[in-house]
Amino acid sequence: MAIGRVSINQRDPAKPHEFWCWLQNDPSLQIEIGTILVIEGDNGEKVLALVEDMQSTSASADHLLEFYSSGYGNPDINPPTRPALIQLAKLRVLYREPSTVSPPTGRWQVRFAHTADVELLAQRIPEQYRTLVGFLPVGRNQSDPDSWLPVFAHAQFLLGPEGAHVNITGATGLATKSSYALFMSYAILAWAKRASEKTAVVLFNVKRRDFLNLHQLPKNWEEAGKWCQQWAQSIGEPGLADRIFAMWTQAVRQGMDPLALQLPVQYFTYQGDPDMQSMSNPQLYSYGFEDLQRGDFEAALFTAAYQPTDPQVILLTAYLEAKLGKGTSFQTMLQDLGSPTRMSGSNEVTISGVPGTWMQGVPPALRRRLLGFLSRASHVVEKQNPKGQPFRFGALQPFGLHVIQLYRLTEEEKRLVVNAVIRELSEGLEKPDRHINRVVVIADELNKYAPRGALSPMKEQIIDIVARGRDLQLTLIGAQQFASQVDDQVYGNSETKVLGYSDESELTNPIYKYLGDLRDQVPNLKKGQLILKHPVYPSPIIIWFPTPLHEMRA
Amino acid sequence: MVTDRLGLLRLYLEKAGAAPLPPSDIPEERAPDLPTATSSSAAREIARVPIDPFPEGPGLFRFFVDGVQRTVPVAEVIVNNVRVPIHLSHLIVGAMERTGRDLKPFKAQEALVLLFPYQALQAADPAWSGRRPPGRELSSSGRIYEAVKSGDLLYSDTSIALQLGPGGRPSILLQAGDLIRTGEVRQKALNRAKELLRIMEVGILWDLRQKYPNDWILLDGPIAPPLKYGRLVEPALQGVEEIARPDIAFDFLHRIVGAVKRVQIVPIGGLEVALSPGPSLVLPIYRFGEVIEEDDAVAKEILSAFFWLRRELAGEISALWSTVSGLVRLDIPIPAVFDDIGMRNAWNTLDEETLVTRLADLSSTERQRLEELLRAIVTERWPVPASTVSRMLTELFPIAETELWLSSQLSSVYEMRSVLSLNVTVSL
Repeated sequence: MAIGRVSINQRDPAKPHEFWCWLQNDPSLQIEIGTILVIEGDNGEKVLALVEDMQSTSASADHLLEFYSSGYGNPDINPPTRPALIQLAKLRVLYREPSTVSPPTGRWQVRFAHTADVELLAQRIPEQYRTLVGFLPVGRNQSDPDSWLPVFAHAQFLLGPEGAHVNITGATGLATKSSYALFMSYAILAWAKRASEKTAVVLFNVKRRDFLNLHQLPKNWEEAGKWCQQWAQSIGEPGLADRIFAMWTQAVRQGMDPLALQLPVQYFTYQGDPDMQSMSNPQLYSYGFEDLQRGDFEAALFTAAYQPTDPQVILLTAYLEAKLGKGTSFQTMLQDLGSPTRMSGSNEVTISGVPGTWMQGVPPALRRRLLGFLSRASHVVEKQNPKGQPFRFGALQPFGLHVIQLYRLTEEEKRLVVNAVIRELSEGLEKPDRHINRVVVIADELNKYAPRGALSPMKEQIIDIVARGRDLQLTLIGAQQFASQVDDQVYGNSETKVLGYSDESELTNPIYKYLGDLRDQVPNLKKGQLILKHPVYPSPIIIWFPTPLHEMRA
Repeated sequence: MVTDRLGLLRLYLEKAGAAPLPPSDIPEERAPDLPTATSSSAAREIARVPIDPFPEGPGLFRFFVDGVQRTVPVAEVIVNNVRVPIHLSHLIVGAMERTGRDLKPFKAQEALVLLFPYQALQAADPAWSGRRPPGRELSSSGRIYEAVKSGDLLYSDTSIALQLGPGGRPSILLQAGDLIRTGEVRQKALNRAKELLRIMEVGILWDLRQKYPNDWILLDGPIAPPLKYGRLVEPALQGVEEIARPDIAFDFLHRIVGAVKRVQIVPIGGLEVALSPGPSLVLPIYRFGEVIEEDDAVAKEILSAFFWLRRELAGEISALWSTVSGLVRLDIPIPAVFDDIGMRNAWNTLDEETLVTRLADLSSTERQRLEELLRAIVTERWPVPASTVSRMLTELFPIAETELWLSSQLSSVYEMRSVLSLNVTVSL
């Protein structure tokens, strides 16, 4: 049933990618920003479009006329005729049949989208590559799973080789970045199982218990429904329960059933983590001198704000070349740097076992850095022993979720661990006899590891990974509060972009230009609502996703 | 279907040797709305009715009737070296219905009419005798509304009047020698379009009257045309013309009010009551003594209430170019006030003294009915339509909305001019 028609006029001419329509004056029409509508031409043309902007207007020219029209400024008057209210929607084209870059050529009819219509969107993605990434509301009853139409991403664009990496932006706490990253993890693993692609997901838990308790899932969907109800009551929004459960029901229909998938969850944490009770059989990790490589040392010791001098870098390189693989510990390194031998008649010194000479101030300077690092890295560094218990590629389980606890670690510790883990994963994926073919890494606070502008050893490794990730089959799902603070290469290489509630000041950055008029909607996004930009779709889409099941546990 | 008609028309014009006119957008052709000077006429004040300036209550009127037209020269023919323009007129009349407080389109009737001085062309060049246009002719023989409803291609000879003269024959408006007066030829076409529009308005009023005999209709413009064009509209309305059958006229007129937004005829006696700045609102009711043939024609069977519609806005909207530019006239047929079945055959014989006496009696049914009607009109002062400054002061909102709805369906000047342009796809 038609609910409106395309509006073509001089002020707002129809364009190939965007045009306006008017909607019939029916208060029961539930259309909002993000709704998908179908526009049908007289000769079989079909356009799927997203409502990007809306306006209510009337023939009234201005506020003065509105004032006069109410009995010359009398708010209590009810004129015998109610001026018509005209509802307009700006539509952004998602799909066009036939596939031409041309605007509507007539006042084509507009109607709600049905399941079959939205499936046209999915048609662009071969069935074997469809990965669920969210839902579009198309019905009036949000408690009905059929009202939530699945939105798919193309696995080859999400994970490689056609494209790779995902970037999620949004204000902390409100944009549900971690929850969505987890939803994506389930979806990717569900796809991987179907496709027999041995894939593992590694999640860095950087704050609170975002990725803890993942093993605590309901026994069945009946219990999941109860969790939904209790959780919705507890947060004071009982109406949410049916909506979330309906989305999960639809997810299950699409083969993304976290209960049936029975994905193994492994936790890796440091000694003394007070959140260990939220983990099942956690494995402790730590790093000794011999577990690290040059890049790990550089990431740990040097930051963008704390750049080393060239002699310090040369000394560190020489020391590592001389000592790595020889049973060295951090304690040994401290001793070596603290007891240089002065060369007679010179300001230069030597260090035992390390070829070369150094200006006498260099070893103490590097030692101070090392001391500073060790004093702030006591949770994860084995100071006395050459080796600790580092996270190993071999620990990955196919189709498993691997949570690496970083919460409460210092910035230096986080940098060390993240760098060492990513290095380990990329090396593991390059081995010919690997047991895992793909790895997805989820890292929040990406701006700390790959900040815009400043150079840092860790950022270089991340840039290298996002550049080579498509070939390595290593996918980074990075998240941050402000994408404007993330390195351009890292952000630009993320083919799929996701945006949750964000502050207007952030949105003025040109990197959000791709949103078009949807940019105005970002500060109005609700919890569970995101804007998705995926290479398969010509325009961003507003999608919904359900709250993770473990988060709803009482 | 319109495209089919245009195809026929194009074929005819080509065979007639007509040459296309280049497309151009002449403002006066977008929507002819040409104001003329005010004239005064003898009229007697029948009553003065005080009305609350801000009355509350539901609207009385159910239907709102208006008509719009666009008439453009689309081609020219050369006869004896004289270029004669041929016009095409797109006319639409319609009614909106108010249910609750909402307006919605109810009924519309459109016509595409070729206008040209056919008889004068035949007189100038006998070859034109064999070039009778396709479709039905709208002429003095009547049944015009029936022809409009048929959906056929229509034409009208602008060299012959629509109305019958004293001898029972239509008068000649253009002779062969007049064809050289291009301005006159054009004016006759524009006048004919205006007449046809009035006739179609009467036709739609008749449709509504037959189906909804007791519902109130507000017509944009004067009520006099039905009294003038009845026969041309439909044989059954012959009795309305000149009130030949008072009973038929009674049935037609007793629930219709006309709202004249461009007042040209004012009573000689002045309008100081109507133009009083307030705060109270008093509407003077006049009866004109004779039928005056203007755009806002008056007639003795109709009471005329003058009303400064939105005087509160006079200070806000400064574009007043004359004293009466904010003035509206409400045409209230006598049967609308003397709405008594017993009067059905005799209402037109009421003498003026009786009218005055009955309407002066505050307790009389007629006086109360008049007050009710005027109150209903005053209620319609709000909302203010978005329009030109002058119309904002004088147009009623439902009428403006009806016009907006109808105007949106009018073909553009370019579309109409493309009739003879073979390379242009026309979809009117």
